[in-house]
Amino acid sequence: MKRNTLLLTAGGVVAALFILLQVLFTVREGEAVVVTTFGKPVRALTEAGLYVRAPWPVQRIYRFDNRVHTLEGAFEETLTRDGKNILVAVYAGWRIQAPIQFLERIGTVEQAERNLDALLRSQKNAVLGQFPFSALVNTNTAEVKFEQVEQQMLAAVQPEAATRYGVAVQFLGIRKIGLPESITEKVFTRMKAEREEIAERYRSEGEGEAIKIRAAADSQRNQLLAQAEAEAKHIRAEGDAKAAESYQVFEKNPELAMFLRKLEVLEGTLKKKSTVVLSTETEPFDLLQGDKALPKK
Amino acid sequence: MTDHLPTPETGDAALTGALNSSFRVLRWLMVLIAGLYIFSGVFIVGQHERAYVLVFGKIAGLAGERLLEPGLHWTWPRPIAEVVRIPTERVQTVDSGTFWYKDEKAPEGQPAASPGTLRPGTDGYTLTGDANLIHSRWAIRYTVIDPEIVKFRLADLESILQRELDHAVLQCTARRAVDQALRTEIESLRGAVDAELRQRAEALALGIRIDRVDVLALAPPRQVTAAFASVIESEQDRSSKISAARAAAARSLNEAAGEAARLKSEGETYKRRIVAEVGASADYFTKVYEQYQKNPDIIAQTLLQDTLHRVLTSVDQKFLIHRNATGQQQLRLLINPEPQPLTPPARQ
Repeated sequence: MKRNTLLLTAGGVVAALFILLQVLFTVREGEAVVVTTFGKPVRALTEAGLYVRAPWPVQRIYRFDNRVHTLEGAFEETLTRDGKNILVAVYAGWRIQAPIQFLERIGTVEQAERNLDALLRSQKNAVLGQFPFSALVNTNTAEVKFEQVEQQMLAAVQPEAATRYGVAVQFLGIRKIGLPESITEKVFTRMKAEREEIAERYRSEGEGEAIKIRAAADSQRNQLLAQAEAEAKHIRAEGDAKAAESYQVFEKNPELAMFLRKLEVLEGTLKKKSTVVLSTETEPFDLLQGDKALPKK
Repeated sequence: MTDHLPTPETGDAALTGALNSSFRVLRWLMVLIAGLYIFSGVFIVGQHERAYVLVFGKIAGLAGERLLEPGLHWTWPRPIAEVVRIPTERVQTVDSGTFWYKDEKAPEGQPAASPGTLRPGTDGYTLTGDANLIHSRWAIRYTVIDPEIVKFRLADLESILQRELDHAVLQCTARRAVDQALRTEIESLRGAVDAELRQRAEALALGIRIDRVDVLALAPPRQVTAAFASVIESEQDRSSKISAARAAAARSLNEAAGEAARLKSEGETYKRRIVAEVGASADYFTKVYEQYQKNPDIIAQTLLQDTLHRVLTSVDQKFLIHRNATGQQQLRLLINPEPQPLTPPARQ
């Protein structure tokens, strides 16, 4: 009896587990599940938890990754409004919005990305055709319409992705902008020409600036020296004027004053390394003439 | 012989004993399996990670207590529960080389040849605002602040971040001239990419904090490197010319300032000297004049003779010319004589 109880318990546990595995299933966080009854989708579950279903082959479950996926379109040529041929790559973030619709229309993430890629490509070409090249690349930031271009693409892609594939496109952006390979060579030629022009401008600017600096310095120098000379002249004139005040005393006897001045000049000018040629008639060398120089009695 | 043959009773007893033993083993085996199953729910959360426990697919725990800290934990084993580990706190990095070129393999011992064009899809680059091309490499450092979003809402955070970084770089470069992007406004460009990326990360609720965006490399295309180097060279040439001119100007002005000071100083010296000299002469005159009034001839002669004495004493050469018999005086001077050739000194 005891043995039978043990066997029955073990068998019962195994049977219960088997049945539970057939009728219970979980929806994991970040997952979407679609339940089909005889192949027809009847229930979409996006809330994580434990659920019950009818066992196979009555009901079947399909699981999808319900997180945000990124998709990048091809880096391919498109035309801007002003006829510029450019290469643009757009990326988008998407997730499953309507699991039943997603299962019916697409079925797999890979297929969804193929369909979304086609949709992105067509809307990218349509929107970029409305904007000039300068709306994407411009040093005048007011003319750059990057956000506007992306918003228009997103607004065009979102409703179509939702109604056609049950997918919500959550964000979109331009990842790459390029030029056709043959054009890059021409760009390099232009870039080289621009660089040469800039280099030449720098060289001439350097010379010009240097000349300006030197000229300004010369002018300032001349001005400074002229001012200094004027000041020095003024100072000397002050000295002369002040000295002239002392000349008044000479008015007492101008002849004596001139005589003294001459003596002073004579003494000041004839110094060492001078050669003097005098006549013997010059005093006191007239003494050399003998009797002529003797004082008269 | 018959004593050794087993009876039906002894056979049943042996079978019963064997079955009993098997059931005992089976019972203990079931207990052991159940124990091992329960024990397999023990797990450790490491130092640089956190963990969520999903019970029947749903995150277990109340809001705010869902994320398990490092340490020893237990939960129901699979298929009831599942442990999901998430690296957190550590600063993580995403690099982007989308806008960099692909190096060509050069033959052994030779430098890599620079192709004439940039191949779409192989050589990455961005367009600047003035329609030039540049290469750049970037990196983001970020920290996960909401692991629940990163793990259960986003399929591949790094993929999103890389694209958002490229998007920000593309936008910010497209608004700047090539010189600004490559040389004069590198930090401004980096700051703009950083700000754009932070704003996008917040708007898209990525559950991360952008710590910093770094520029790993910025370069003009290899095809025009020499032209860019020439600009830098000429710019340095300009700077050196201007610096030299400034130095010369400063030197000239300093010299002029010195010259001006000298001129003024000489003026002052002249002023002091002339005033002093004339003052002294006036004093001298006043003193002599008193004596001169008493005996003018003697004073005058004395002064003259004294002066001649002093002057002629200090003079090097003195010539006295005497009038000849005819009453004429002659003095012949040899002015500017022909230079005499130098003759070597005679040998002793």
